[in-house]
Amino acid sequence: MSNARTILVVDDEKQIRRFLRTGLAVHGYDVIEAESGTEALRLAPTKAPDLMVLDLQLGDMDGLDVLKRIREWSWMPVLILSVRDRELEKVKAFEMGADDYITKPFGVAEFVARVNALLRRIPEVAVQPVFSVGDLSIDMARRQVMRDGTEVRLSPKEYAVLQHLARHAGKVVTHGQMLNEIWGSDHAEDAHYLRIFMRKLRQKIERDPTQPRYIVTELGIGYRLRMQDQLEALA
Amino acid sequence: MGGWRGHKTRRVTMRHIMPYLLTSLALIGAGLAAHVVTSLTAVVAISLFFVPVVLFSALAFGLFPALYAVACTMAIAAFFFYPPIFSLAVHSSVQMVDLAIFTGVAAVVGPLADWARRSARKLKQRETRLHQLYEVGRHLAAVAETAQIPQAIAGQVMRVTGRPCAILLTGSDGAPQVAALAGGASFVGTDLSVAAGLWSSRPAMAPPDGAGSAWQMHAIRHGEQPVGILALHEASAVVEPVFMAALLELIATALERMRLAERSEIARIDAKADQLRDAILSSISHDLRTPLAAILGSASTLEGYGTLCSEAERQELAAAIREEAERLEHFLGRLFDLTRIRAGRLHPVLEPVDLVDVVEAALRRCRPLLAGHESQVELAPSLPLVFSDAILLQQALVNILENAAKYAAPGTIILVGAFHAAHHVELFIRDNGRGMTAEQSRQVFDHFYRATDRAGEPGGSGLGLTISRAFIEACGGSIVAESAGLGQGTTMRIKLPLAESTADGGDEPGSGKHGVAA
Repeated sequence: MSNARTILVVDDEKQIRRFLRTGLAVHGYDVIEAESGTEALRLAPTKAPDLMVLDLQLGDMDGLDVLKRIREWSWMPVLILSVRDRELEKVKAFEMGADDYITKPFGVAEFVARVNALLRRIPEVAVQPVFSVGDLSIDMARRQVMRDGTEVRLSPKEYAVLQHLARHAGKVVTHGQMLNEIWGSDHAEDAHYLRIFMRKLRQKIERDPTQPRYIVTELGIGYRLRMQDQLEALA
Repeated sequence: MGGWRGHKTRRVTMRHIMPYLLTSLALIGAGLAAHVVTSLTAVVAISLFFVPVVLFSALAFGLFPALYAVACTMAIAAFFFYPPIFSLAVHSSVQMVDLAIFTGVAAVVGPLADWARRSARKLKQRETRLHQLYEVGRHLAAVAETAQIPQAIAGQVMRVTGRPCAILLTGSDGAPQVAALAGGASFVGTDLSVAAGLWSSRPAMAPPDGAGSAWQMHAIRHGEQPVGILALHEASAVVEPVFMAALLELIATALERMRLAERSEIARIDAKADQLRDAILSSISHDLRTPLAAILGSASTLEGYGTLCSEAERQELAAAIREEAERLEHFLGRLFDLTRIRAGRLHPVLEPVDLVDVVEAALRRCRPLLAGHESQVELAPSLPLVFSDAILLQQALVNILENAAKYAAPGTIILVGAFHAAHHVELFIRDNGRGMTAEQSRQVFDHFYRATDRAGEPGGSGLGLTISRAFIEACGGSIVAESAGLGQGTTMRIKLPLAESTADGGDEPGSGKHGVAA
């Protein structure tokens, strides 16, 4: 168990912590629990967990503040626990560096799948110059995009967007982040434009652009370029 | 019921003197004629010349001018014709008696005829009025839509009085408000204050002359209760008080009918609301208790007898707990949505939305539910963006898909499509389920409506489609259910407004803002 990954679970609900601990322990993870934001901020630097599960509604402080403080020094993956109809909160979480979210209530299987995906992802995307999902591959060294063995011709902006999504593959990139990153802060509000742009990009890389499988939308939040395991989970 | 006459004319002198003047002239004429004729031939009865004058005066002007004519005739005859001439003394009183009888009869017959003529006219007028009242009553009783009663009253009053008129009723603040106006005259603030004065005074009080209102106001009472005011514009033409009283009585009855109809409508709505509340409460308690009972039962079995159960039985109990909890969560989600709608806390964020995103996200959320069906998507590649709230729209779509999955047999196709119609985008969801009757397709969006409530039917809160409609309407869209009939499947048609302009998708945001759809 020496090489078991450690996960910090931050939630003020004892019942939730208990079931997360059980679910994670069964899958071979070590679990540290924090019942408050303060405790999380105390435990995170000393225990050096590999991943943090963070509830946004904590008794003592806002989960977003905890995330902000953690991000000042750590890039460990953070999985947000959120409730329905709090899209703005989710957008903020992503913009502060959250890696994924899961909406309460959820089943333990889905939760463990997300945790697994977040932990598996770290070395892959960072090291590999080629990102592949389904029949789509993006060679970032050669700036070449192939679909089903054929090269796809993209405009420079389209390539930039796809590359940005690939660098954050599997994770949600918010509309704001994308506009800001590719077009600059002047256009951070131009949702209309982004919709049309993404539609054109999908027409080039998706098999059926009306039923996208690679670039999917998190409504009200942003886009996500699926990773292979996420695509397979659909089958 | 009091009225007041706006204009009192005083042409008394001329009207009163004229008959005497004319009578005098006629008498002079008759005297001259008698003088000429008697000087030529020996005519005995000069009364022949004067009786027509008296008769004329009586018929034309009534008794008093006629009696005046009689007196003058006697004087003229005594002075000019009966000896001694040029003296009022008379030798033969027989002649004078004859004359007095002839002219006296004439004087009396005249007014009698006049009276007969007048009463005939009065009868005729009364008949007209009665007919008018009957017509008004008939018209007002025939108004089917009670809300139109005040306007009907105004129209009828205008017809029978020939004056523009207004009907005032108590407004929400207790002050009189114009409920109907006929004839084009306008009712201004000062008129309203006059009306308010009339309203508050117990006996119907007429404002004094020159009170600043061109309207003649009549209080309409039902019993002692004032129910409204009838105002006639510049009603100098006299409306007989009796007629007015009868008219007001008719109006009061019609207004009372309206009030009763309104009251019964309110009672009906209240009863319906109570019914709905009861249905909601019983549905909520049923939908909450059933899964809770299953969870509690399964969990306590596991806790108490888990060791005695086989592995398969334990699995089954655990699965039951999970499934029922999911059902509970689903129901609470709907209830939360409904509460949000009812509390008016639905603030849609309207922006350009690609239906591709919404449909994909909705289908993704419904994947476990639709696993038994074949879901198909037919979206035109050139589909324009819609102006909507993506999240509300997705939730609406999820509810509709859940409904379709529930009522369509496993293995059948559920089709989600969209196309560009003239001035909107139509999104549709078609299933090959049990379909519905025309009646059901109208009710399907109502609270807690379920096509069937029999045991063994697919369960559900009956809230899904209600929420879908509320969400779609909040996004400025509309939804209808369509079905060719039972067993013919159902198509939900959602109309969504277009995003006004569509960028051309060039590499710079904002470019081609006014271009055509990409």
